[in-house]
Amino acid sequence: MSTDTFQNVPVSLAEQPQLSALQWQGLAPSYLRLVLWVDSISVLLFTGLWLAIYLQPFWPVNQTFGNILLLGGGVLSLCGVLAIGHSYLAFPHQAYALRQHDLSYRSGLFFRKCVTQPILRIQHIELKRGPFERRVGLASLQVFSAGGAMHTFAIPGLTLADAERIRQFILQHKAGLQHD
Amino acid sequence: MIEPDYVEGDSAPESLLTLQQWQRLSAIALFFFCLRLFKTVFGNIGYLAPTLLVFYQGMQRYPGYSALALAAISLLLIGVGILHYWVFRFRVIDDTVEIHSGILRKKQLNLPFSRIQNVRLLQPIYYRLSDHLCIVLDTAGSSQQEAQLAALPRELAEQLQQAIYLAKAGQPAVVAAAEQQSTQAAVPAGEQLLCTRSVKDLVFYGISNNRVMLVLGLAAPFYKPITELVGQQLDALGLDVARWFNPDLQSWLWLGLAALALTMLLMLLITLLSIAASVLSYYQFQLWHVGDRYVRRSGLLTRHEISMKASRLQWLQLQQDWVDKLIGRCNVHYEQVHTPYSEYQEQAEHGKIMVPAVLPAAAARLLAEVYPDNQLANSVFGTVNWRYLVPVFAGFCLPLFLVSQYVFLPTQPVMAMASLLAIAMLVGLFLLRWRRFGYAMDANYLYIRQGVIGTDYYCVPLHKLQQLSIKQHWFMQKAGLKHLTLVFASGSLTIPYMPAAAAEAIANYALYRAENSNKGWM
Repeated sequence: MSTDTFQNVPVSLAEQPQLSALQWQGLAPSYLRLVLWVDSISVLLFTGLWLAIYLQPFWPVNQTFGNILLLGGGVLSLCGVLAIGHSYLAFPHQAYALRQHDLSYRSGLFFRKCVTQPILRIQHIELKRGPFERRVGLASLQVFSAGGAMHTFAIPGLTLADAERIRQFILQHKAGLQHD
Repeated sequence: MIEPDYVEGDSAPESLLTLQQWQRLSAIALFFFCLRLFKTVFGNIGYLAPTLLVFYQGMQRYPGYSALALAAISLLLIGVGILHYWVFRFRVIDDTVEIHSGILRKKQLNLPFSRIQNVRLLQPIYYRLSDHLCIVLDTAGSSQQEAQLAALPRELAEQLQQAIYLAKAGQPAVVAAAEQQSTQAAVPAGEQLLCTRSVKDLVFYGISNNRVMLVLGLAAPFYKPITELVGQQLDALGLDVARWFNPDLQSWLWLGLAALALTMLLMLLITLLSIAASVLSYYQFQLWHVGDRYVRRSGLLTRHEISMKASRLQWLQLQQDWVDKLIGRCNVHYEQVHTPYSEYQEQAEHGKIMVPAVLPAAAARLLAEVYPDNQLANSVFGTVNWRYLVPVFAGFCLPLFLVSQYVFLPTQPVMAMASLLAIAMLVGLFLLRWRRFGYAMDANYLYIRQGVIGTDYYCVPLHKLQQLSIKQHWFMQKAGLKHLTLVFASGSLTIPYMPAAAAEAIANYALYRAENSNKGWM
């Protein structure tokens, strides 16, 4: 059956700004490097841990437990390696876009997702910088609306300068509206 | 600390001015405090049940001492209640409610009118005679910052409520309250009774609402004592139930009939309970539109008054479950801003307004009153793509089918057939759900239709949009489909597997409305 029967189109549809015409900006390349480094080290540490338990001579593991350890650890480590590959491949799809009245962020390789947050509805903004992000001069921008914690809008991997510029842009936008 | 704080030369109503001094609540609040204490102590008794069992044996041995102990505990609680009452002082000054409370841990609360989101009035049954009200002041913050003035005379309580609402609307409260008092004899302008519910309607609601299962779940710890009690009673009457269900003595047909009858009896009892609960909380239900607020008044024992600012309304939901459909009724939900953690609060339900068991025509009238320009009745709904069914069929029904046939088919063909039937029914329900899903949009609203056997309609003003997201995976890309999720302050709505072009059209237009209409969301 056909699903293209959507009839109730608003009158001036073509005149509205189109999401498909957004100008996307990629995240900072250093963010990809950071993610790959952190992921690789985590996977290596994890693999080292279960291998160490398996191979250590002090408390020999019995046959069943050894097999479970080998299989479980192997599968999890493999998943980790796949996740690293996924991060690498998905990076080009992670991008943000600013318009006069909203922010958008898209992500995902298999599940493409695009979130758009009208600036008018923003309650408050946070710049978050973890220890690794601080080292490479990156920041994440978090934006909260009345939609609740489940729907926090976040853009990771911005350079600090960009993140502060976006925050300034949002604050000015809101201040400008309050003066109207 | 209790120095009176007079304001000279103010022309505000005397009754409200008296609140400017530190004072205690009306004496009847003593009841309230003591009852609340009893409720908190004995309400948590479920957790103490194992300990109490030990005590129970002791109690049987020394009934005199136990009665004494019980009396002592009660006296202690009453004493604490009186202390609570004694240390609770409040005043209303400079558009701020100030409360001092706490026996050991002193608590001072300053609550400016501007931070109060909602003023609820309730009247427990023991306040009826003296016509007092309990005022609950809700703030947007956590539940800890909620304040209660346990007992004020009705006139004073209503004036305070008015003053708070008027102050929030931007007028100096005291003056506004004075004006309000001068015109109090007349019916306040713009006060309109939208809907009342009779006991008959509430019976319908009690039959249809799904809380039956909840009651069953809550009663679980009591199943055993109840069955034992019932068994004793039946024994006393000379009925031997165990014999009815003994397959050695009875035929299978009789056994089936007995089980059926017992189930029906149980369902009947539960339904009666549900009806009683419905009447208890919605008795004399009235929905008013007063000024810029919707006000719900109801309750048999404790009368509640809940009000919601019209501008805080996020959407209207007309809800009809399958039982509702059978009896031709539906429930109208006025969904407002969802406060964080409110689901865990005891009184979460009291922030909402729901009109139970109205006829569809009346529901349409209520909808038209809230959103006069809505086009729900004339909307042509777009449907979602059949691929919506693929994940549930492939991920749920198919595995279920394979496993059940693998397990049952070789040895128990009857069970295999039964499970096949059950799965077929499940598939049917999923098909119905898919067929029911629909969406439509006009210049101001988005309409969503969903349900399985009954139908729920959402009428959502687009300009209240908080955020939106569009999702798509590889297979959907090929088929030109997208999931659209719209986030509002009252929750999120998702239209799955809809044509990509339509999803983008709705997204673009919703954003345009939110950003361009200059209308607030609360």
